[in-house]
Amino acid sequence: MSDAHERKVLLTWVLLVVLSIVSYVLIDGRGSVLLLFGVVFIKLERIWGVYLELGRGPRWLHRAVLGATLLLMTILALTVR
Amino acid sequence: MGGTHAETRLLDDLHGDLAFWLFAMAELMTVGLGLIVFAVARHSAPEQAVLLHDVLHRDLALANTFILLTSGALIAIAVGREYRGEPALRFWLGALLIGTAFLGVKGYEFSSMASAGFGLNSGPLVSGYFLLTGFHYLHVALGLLFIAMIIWRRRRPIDPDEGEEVRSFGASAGVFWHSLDLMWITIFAVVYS
Repeated sequence: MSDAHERKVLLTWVLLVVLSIVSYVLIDGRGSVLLLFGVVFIKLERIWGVYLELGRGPRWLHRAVLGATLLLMTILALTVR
Repeated sequence: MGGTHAETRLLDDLHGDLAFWLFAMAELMTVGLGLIVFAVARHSAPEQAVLLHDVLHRDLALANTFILLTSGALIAIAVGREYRGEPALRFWLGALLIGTAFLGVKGYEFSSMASAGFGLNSGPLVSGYFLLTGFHYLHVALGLLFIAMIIWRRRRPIDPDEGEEVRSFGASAGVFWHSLDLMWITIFAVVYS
């Protein structure tokens, strides 16, 4: 159980680090907003799903935060480019 | 009565304190709106956008992204271990040390920008940069204070009667810290692009 959770956390960490490097490479005015969508989505889904889930947390608040943030990111994407 | 019971169950299941979730959501919304204003300002002042892009330390921002992601992962492991009754102090200590490095790196970037003659009165876009990253910086400092309190509380064995309360504060600090991670990733992609 312990190993399974920590493995998921480490996998999430690796995923986010890779995405950050990709973001750093692409960030120079080329499609960073689309990438941002991916990073934010994965971040919320994994961090507030995997990091904090532990088999006991409710998903309703995670979904509320995810929905609100994605709405905000949509507005942001439409505004930035 | 049925509704109250259902609400109680939802809140009972909550990981960490509801106030921290609301606080984190409010802060994310604030930064999100700030980023929209920043994006509009950049669109309306392209020459200043080029100037800012040239002076920002993107490599340091990437280093800070790794720092925050790593401290976030350590906190996630620490919180998970505590709920399983396993020792987690070294993970909290690791998160504190690595999180403190964020302040050092960002402080260096602020001082380097100031030495180059940039400040709050250098136009709307540069001001926006300082306000957004400064807001985040102060929140990281607050998050580190929470982590320091958690470490201080765990310097002695925890009374079983207080166990749930102590673990819950750790989970709440985790929620807050992960919201800081998210804020930074958004700032990184928008401000440093």
